Amino acid sequence: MIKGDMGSGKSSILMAIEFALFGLGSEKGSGLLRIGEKEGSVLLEFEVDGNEYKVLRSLKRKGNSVQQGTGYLLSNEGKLQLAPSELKERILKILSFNEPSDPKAQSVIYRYAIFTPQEEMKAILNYGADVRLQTLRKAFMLEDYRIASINAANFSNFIQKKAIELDGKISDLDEIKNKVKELNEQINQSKDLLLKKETETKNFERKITGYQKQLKDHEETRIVLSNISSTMPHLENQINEKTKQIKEATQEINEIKTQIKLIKEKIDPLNKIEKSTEMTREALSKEITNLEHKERELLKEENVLENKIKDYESVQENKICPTCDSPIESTQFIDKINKRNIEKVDVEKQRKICLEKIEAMKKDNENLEKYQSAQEKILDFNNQLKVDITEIEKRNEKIQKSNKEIVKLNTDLESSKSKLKGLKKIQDRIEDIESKINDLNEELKRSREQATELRTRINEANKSIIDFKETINEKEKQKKQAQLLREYKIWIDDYFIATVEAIEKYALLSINSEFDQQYRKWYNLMIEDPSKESRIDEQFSPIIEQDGYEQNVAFLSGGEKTSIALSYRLALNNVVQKVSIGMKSNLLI
Amino acid sequence: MHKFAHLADLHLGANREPELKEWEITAFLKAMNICIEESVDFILISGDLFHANIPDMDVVNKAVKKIKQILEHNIPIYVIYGSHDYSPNETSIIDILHSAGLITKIVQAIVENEELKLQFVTDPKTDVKITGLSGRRLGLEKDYFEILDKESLEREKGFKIFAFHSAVAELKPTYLARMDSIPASLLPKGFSYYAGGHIHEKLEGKLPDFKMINYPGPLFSGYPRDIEQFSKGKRRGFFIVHFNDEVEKVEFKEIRIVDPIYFEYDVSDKSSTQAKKELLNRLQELSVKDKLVVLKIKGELSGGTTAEINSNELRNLLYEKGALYISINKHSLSSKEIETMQIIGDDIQTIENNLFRENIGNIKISASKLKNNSGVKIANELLKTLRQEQKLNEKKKDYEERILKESISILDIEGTS
Repeated sequence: MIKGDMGSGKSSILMAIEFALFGLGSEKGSGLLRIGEKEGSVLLEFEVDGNEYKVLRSLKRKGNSVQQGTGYLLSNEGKLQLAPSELKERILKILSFNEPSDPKAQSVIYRYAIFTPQEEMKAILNYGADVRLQTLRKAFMLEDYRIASINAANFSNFIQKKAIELDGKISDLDEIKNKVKELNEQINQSKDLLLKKETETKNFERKITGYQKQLKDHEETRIVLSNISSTMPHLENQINEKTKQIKEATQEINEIKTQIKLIKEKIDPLNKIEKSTEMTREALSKEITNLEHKERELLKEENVLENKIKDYESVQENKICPTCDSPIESTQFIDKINKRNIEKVDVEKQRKICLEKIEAMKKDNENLEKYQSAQEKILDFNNQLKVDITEIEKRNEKIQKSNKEIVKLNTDLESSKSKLKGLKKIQDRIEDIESKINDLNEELKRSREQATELRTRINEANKSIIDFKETINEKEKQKKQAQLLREYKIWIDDYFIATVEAIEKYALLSINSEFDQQYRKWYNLMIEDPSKESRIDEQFSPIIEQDGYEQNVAFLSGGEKTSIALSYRLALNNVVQKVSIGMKSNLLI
Repeated sequence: MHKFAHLADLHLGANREPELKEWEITAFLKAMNICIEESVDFILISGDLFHANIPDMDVVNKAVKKIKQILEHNIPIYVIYGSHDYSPNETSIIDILHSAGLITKIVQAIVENEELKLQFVTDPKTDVKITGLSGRRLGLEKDYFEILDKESLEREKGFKIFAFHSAVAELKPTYLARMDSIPASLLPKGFSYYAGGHIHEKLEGKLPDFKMINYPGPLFSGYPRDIEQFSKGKRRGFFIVHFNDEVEKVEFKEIRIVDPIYFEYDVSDKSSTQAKKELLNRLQELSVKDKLVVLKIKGELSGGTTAEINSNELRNLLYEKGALYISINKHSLSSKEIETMQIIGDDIQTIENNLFRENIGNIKISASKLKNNSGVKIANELLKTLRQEQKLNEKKKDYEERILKESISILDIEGTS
């Protein structure tokens, strides 16, 4: 018990203890360090659970402000120099105070449960219910559960996210399983089909063997038939060939005959051309050359006469001699001109006769040339006619020969046909068998192909199934993991968080109930008026009732208010000490 | 013909809240004014004029001013102590007013041979003889009644009045069943008028041998319960008794200072949220302007806490709607959720462990690791990790990652991360 007069320093001791343990908190250092002092310190010795501790904290004035210096903590582990915030952390741990170690925060537990400055005594009644509840939740460590719930919800979300990721990976699992199922069904179907095909193949083979045996029985006939069959077309071909040759030869004969007719038509006009002269062509040509020479001489003579006439006419006209330029008598020349003109007409007459002779001789020459050429051509045509006639004879012989051969070939062909007719039934039978064998072979081939295809399909399906099964195994593992994660999530949501919330409720209820009991105990001890009851509600607000009606604390008497505040403090002290395990003492100030 | 006024249970100074305080004194002043107007011959107050032996002096001051005015009209005031304005240890305001000659205490008792003998006070104007017994707390006056010399009182002739501050058992209303009382047989017989006090309700009683046992009840209200009764329609006021040789007529003078309204709401089968919402809606419809509102909320909430039916919120709403004063009663309000929650451990660690253990059976999962003891163990470990606060200087992201990492390791789901 600390007892003393007013101002004797009871509060200072308590403030010093608070400072030593928790530091300045929201207090100002200047409020603790005596005015005028440059530095000061507090050394506190205390005991928790039988362990002794010494803690030292110091204050230093720096200019206008007072700041905390370093301090130390002495425990059975030795002496540790620590910064103010580190000291606070340690002390809170030692005292098991569940409070933030923020060096700027005050110790609520200490303030509520141990030491309340006088002036703050009634303040607890004036706080809003929210602030009070918040503060108390902290002091009672109930905030932890809220934090735990939030963190658990985060954790649960994380797990869900993982599970959803896995879901994404296994979303096609059923599809793959269905595929495997489908593949197995396919394989079974294919196997059934294959079995059928194999049976079918054997059937075909057996039938073919049967038919082939039958064919063997008909082997000789078949050879004969085969021979005949192979000869007949040959014969027919030969007949056709011969017929064709006859036709060709006949056509050639006709063509030659046409040609002969044409030649004869060409010979006829040639025979009509007659011989115009008995002279040879050489004699004719010589005569023509002579005449032409005579004609050129005459032409020259004509020109000389002409020029002489012109000169005489010029002299007569100009009356001057062209050679000596002496004047002459013109009458002298008229005779001359006349004489000459007579001479010129005679020459012109001779030349005309000459030209007419040349013309006639040239015509004879041409006719003779034509006659000779026609005679040559007629000779040629006659030679050609001879050749053509020989050719026609050649072909006629050939036609005769071919006709003879055709008769023989036709006889052979008829004989083969009648032979075939005799073997027709057997041949039909053989053909029937062969056709059947052919058909069967077709079907056998098809059946074998189908069987092969089925085997391939089965193999491929089996391969796919093996691949799919590996995938399925992997995905099944992931599915299990996702299920497990879902369970974890359910566990966290429905069990863990729900329980933590319940714990919080129960803890709060437990504390509230304990608090209410303690409060009523103290209240009833202090309040005289039995008509006024007081209790603590769920939000730790003190409720004062008269006849069941709520009373406004503000209008209660001073004594009543003090009693309520004190009861509240005492109850709080009891409960905080109980909750905060480290608080073994019953220290209350 | 004479007449006197009979008042009781004024409880002046009982109310501390400004509105109630004002109405309380106004009712008194109004009653006194009526007495003056009616020119009553005297006023008789059957106890509890004041709420305490030393009441609020402001109220005393106002009351004394009025009493002085009454005296100026030559109307004497006769009083007995009530259960409230008497103190066995200290002087009462009644004594002071008596000494000052403002009022007259009528109880003059002496104990002789284990018998309580009472004297009569005679009103000089009317020759009415008045006597009586004061009230005591917790019905202690019953002892006095038991040793009262009734015979001498009964022998007295003339118009006699017996004033007392006790509930007579036979006349007690049912809602006061628990109130201490005396049987009528303890009263002296043959008085012209029995002026009762202590029962806070207007009562005009008749019993064999007792023609008239009257309780006027309070003028306004001394207690929240009075306010409730008032709001439920009980009339407040006092009696004016007309008499010659016998009582001729009893007249009740009603005093009504304010219009009250009573509203009761039963929350049963509703959660606190539902109830609050509905209640606020109902109150919204209520016409409360210039009224004294009495609100009683009762019943058992199906969920939530009673504190969630927040009185301040209700008050604010009604004040906004013009109510003059609001009195709220939540005494019979409880919550099923809280009632059914049993305390399942003394300390927090036990509660944690017990709840984890209790609930593990309810969870239907196949992972054996999370079931039974193993599940409880993991839950405890996980709580230890998840409840950690963000450290000083730790970034939020780092904090969340750290917690997540530790949680993953506890649940051993490393492979999935």
